[in-house]
Amino acid sequence: MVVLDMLVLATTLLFLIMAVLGCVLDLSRIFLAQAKLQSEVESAALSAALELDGTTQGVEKARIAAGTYQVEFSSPLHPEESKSVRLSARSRVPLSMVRIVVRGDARDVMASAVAEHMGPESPVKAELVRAEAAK
Amino acid sequence: MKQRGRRGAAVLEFALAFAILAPITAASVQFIFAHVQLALLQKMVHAGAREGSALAWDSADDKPTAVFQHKVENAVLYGSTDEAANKPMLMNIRRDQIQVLVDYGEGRPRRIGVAIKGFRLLGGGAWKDLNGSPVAWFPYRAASVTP
Repeated sequence: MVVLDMLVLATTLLFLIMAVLGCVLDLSRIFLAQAKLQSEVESAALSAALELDGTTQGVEKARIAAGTYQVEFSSPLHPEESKSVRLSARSRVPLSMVRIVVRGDARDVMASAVAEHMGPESPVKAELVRAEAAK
Repeated sequence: MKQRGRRGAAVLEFALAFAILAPITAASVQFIFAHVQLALLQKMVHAGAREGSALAWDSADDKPTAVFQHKVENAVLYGSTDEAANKPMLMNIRRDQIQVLVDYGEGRPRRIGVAIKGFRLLGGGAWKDLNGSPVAWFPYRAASVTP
C-alpha cells in the first residue's frame, strides 16, 4: 500500500516536473532562435547598408546582401537615393511541451533591423539605427 | 501503535519519492541553467562581432593584432570594448575561449566573426563542449584600415 501510494505521488510529480521542464526548454529554444535570427538580420542589414552608394547598382547589391530577408529602402520610390535600409525576417520554431498550454505546434519569431549608410566623416561606413525583436 | 505505523509509512513514502524526484529536479535545474548560459553566450558573441566589425583594422595581414583581439574579447565579456565599463556577462568564461574570426580579402577584412571554443556547458548531469558555436558574423564596416 505504501509503495503504491508512493508510486502514484512520484508519477504525478514526475509528470509535473517533466511538463515544467518541457515548457522551459521550449521557451529557451524560442529565445535562442530569436537571438540567432536577430543577429543574422542585423548582420545582413549592415551588409545591405554598406552597399548603398547612391546608384542603382548599389541598390541591387544591397538586395543581394539582404538575401532572403524582406527589404525596405528609406526611399521606396527612388531606392537609389536611400540612406538606410530595413530588413525583417520571420522564422518558425517547433514546440514540444508548450503546445499543451498554447495552441499550435510551432511559434513564429520575428526580427528586424534598420541600418544606415554613414557619411564620409564617420569612423564607420554603416551603423545600426534600430533593432527590434518580437516573439 | 497504529499512529507510529502511519508515521513510519509517511517517512518511507517521503524517502522513496525523494530518492526518485531529487535527482530529476536537480538535473532539470542544471539543464535549464545550461540553456540560460547558451542564450547568454549567443548574446555575447553577437555583441563581440558587432563591436569588432566597427574597429579599425591595425594589422598588415589576416591575423588580428593583440590590441584588436583584446578589444573584441572585451566586447564579448563586458558588452563594450572598454573592460572597465561593466562586469562580465558570464563569470566562468576565459579570454582564451573566445575565438576572433576574420574573413580577409583584398587587403582588408570582409567580415569579423566571434565564436566560443573549449567551453564546457553543464546540463542535466551531462555536458557539451562548445567548439565553434555559438558563432556570429558581421560585415566589416570601419572606414579606416591602418596597417
